[in-house]
Amino acid sequence: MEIAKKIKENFKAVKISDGEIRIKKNALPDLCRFLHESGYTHLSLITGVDYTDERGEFEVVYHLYSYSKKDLITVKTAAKVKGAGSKTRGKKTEIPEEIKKKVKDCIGCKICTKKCPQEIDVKEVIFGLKEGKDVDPGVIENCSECGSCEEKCPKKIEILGVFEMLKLGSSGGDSGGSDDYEMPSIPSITHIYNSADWHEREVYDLMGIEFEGHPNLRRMFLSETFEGYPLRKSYPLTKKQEVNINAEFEEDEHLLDNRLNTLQKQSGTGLFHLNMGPQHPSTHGVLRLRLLVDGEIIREIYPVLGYLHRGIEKIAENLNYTQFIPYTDRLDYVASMINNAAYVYAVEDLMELEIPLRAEYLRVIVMELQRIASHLIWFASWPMDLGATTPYFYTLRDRERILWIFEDLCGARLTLNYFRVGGVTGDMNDAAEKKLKDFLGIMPEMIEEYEQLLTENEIIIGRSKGVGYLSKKDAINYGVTGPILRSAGVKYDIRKAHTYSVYDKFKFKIPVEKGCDVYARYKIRMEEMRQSLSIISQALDGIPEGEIKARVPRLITPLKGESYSRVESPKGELGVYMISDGSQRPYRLHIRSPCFCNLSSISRMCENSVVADLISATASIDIVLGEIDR
Amino acid sequence: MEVQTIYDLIVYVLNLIGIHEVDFLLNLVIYGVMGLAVFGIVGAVLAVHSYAERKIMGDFQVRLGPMVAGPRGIFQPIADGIKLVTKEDIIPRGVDKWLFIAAPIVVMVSTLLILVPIPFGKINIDGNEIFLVFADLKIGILFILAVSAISPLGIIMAGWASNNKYALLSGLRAAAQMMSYEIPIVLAIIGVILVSGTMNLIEIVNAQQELIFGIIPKWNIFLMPIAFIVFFICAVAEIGRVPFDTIEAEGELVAGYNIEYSGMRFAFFFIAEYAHPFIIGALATLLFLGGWHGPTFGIAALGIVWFLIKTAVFVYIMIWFRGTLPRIRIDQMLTLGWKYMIPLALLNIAIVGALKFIAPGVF
Repeated sequence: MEIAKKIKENFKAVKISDGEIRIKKNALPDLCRFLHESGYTHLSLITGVDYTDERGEFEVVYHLYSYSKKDLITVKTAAKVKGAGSKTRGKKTEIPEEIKKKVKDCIGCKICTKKCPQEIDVKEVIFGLKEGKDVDPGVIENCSECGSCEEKCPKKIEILGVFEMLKLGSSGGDSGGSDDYEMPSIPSITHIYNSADWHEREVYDLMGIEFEGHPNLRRMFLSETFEGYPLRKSYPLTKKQEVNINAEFEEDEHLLDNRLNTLQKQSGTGLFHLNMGPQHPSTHGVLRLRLLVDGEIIREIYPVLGYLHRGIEKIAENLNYTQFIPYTDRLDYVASMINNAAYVYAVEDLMELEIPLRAEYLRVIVMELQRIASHLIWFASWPMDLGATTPYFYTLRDRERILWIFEDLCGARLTLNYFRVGGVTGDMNDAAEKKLKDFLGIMPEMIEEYEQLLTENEIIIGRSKGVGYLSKKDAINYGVTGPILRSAGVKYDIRKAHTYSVYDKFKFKIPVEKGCDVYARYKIRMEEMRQSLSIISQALDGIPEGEIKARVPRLITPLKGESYSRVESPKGELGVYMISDGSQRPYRLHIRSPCFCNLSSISRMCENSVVADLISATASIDIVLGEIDR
Repeated sequence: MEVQTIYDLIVYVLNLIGIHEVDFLLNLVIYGVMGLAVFGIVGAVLAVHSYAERKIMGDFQVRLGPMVAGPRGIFQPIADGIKLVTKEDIIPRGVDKWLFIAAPIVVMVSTLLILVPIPFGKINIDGNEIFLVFADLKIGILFILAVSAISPLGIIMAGWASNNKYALLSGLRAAAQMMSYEIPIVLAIIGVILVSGTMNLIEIVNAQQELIFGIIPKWNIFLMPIAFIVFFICAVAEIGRVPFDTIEAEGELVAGYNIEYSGMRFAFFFIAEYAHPFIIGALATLLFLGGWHGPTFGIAALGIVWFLIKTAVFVYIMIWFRGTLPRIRIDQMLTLGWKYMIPLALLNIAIVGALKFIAPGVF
């Protein structure tokens, strides 16, 4: 690696091992600037990992990408915390009353131990608890919650319930919360990468790492009045807290009023504050934009996120690898197949699995169908925001055909849960194949029809050409991916640049435009639908016979390590960064959401434009709040 | 000559049933009946238009439209009416109460007033020609222009009174829109007035009844196509129909000026909004398509059918716009008004003036 040499020459305290750079936190901005200058202009993601229990530090991970070299570099830095480390582990704890009550009937018959498919000595745990011994919760780590022990127990003891309580107890249920150590800090790199702004705020919000020098370090998803940082391992899983919405609003209002006054003094005209969303027909869900407007002209935009925040990353840390797949459906809910794929590829990468070819073909078919479905939804909603209602009905009619195919494949229509680690759940049957062929036959005509409605429409051109302008430089610096990046003239598609699945077997083009505006994004999406159709028909012709699922153990336990899988979702680069500690649950899972990064460029896109153009530009990003808020 | 109007028709009917003297009180009753008739026309237009619009839009958009209330959903307008009337009347906190109450009334009344000088056709009774018009005004078209300019005022009032920023933006847009589209409409109509030499709508229609070269009807649309195009585009813009619906742009301003209104007050705006396409269609028919003229086969009353058909064509075109076109941006809309429509209308006046001088026979 050429760049590795250069880094070694320039920086002293770095450790480099296959694409991964570890650096002291003080040298981080310099390293980032160096990498930025040597072509690593795309900051893909920033995330934090909590290693306080093991090493007494937080690790912050940066993924930097170079479009010219097609190379991804992982930079890691650590922030030590004081007062962390071995806290409550190993200390003899009192067995709670509830558990005692549940296990008091145990007679030590060992039936449960015999029945356990994971070969856990259940009797030892339950009987031990009854006797009042100190039981190590690590023993039941492998429990798959199959319930066979509970079924066969002659005394009908709720063994799973007891296990649940034990686990909660061990994951720090009442160990005092997260604030017994100081907030760790890392230098901010927002002055180098604009995209770092939101990423750093997210890490601050959920992991509680301070970024020195960040201009606007406030909570991203959670309320300002929320206490604690939920992605820390020490955050109690079952803790409930009330959030004071009014206090939050007042704080917001205060912040905005100050800004309003300074702007008014600068410009000499009266501005006012317009609140767009979370209940607004054109913010596509629960996006809230706070605008400072001068009549119709927008001076500043402050997006407020988090109205749909569900803490999916935290949920992942407490579920089996397989159990988490349905949750990925709920990320970008109009393209759930592709979310499935991103997650499943990350796990398969960790396990180094060989996937049957038929399964990969099926995956490509459904992913491309999903891409078309997602673009159709986009095509329905963008003209709708511009006031044209008819395209909506046309596209939903045709999307229905895709949903029929999905119904035949996996029984579901929207949240599909079709992918499994090692393959897919359902094989292509005759009915689905016929529907797919019908669809392939009819769709090109339909796309023509859509284009007839809009492409040469004078009003559409007037409303989209030059609107939402984001230059190539800005697009890269804001970490924008997908059709928006391609509309700025960057020919980057992960399907080609870093081929995953069997995409290398198909011929397809990457549409690129130079318009940098909403119209260019529209053209690109239309062309992408055509390309996807071509991929599907090639895949359907070449699909081999065979298994649809590799042989995978029922309970997936990948090796210790980390993986980052990227797929080209309809919105851009969807990445799943996964760290496994060798147990059945991911140690840390971070989802690099394309919508989140793309949306961060909205304030640049709509500088000094009118309210109507903001609508057009927001729609052109194709946001799905389920993915932004996670 | 005094033109016979609906008033005379009512007097004639009264004569038939034996009342010969029309005193002050009876006069009031007659005017009351005429007022109710205006409401009736608006009601009928509203019912037919809202049903037709939904069905036609449904046809454009591969769906059925209303199908539940009555056979093929024909009672849908009635169901809508009942819903709107029985809804709770909400006056939100923080609104300017009197303006808030007055705004829908202003919009509604100004809309109803437009209908007063519009002649719908003529019938022959005992050899007398009776025109179906509520009041035969010498300055009919001027009256219409004057009254229709009040309606945006009501929208501005609603926008201001609602104490809502979206409504306020909508009111501002309404002001800009009214200012810029009133002018080209007037200029386009000046062409018509130049040709027919009168502002009375009945006389304007009568001026169009002959044929040019024996085949083409002497309709103003054939004499002044530019004026017609300017008039129609500007009229659609003036009433805020798609693609010029920036006032209530659903995607941007949520619902614009009527965002805080509900129940009957909202229904007033709704009625005005649905009466407008009919009014614009009727005006375009009268000014440019020869009103009720058409082959009547000796039955003068058939003229009403011709009038309604021509009007319906315009209304259909407006629904068609709505099914096809996206919304234009407010600044583009103003550009269109000032930079294209006004010069075109002025050009039309110049051409008509010159032609009237050169070929007085045709014009």
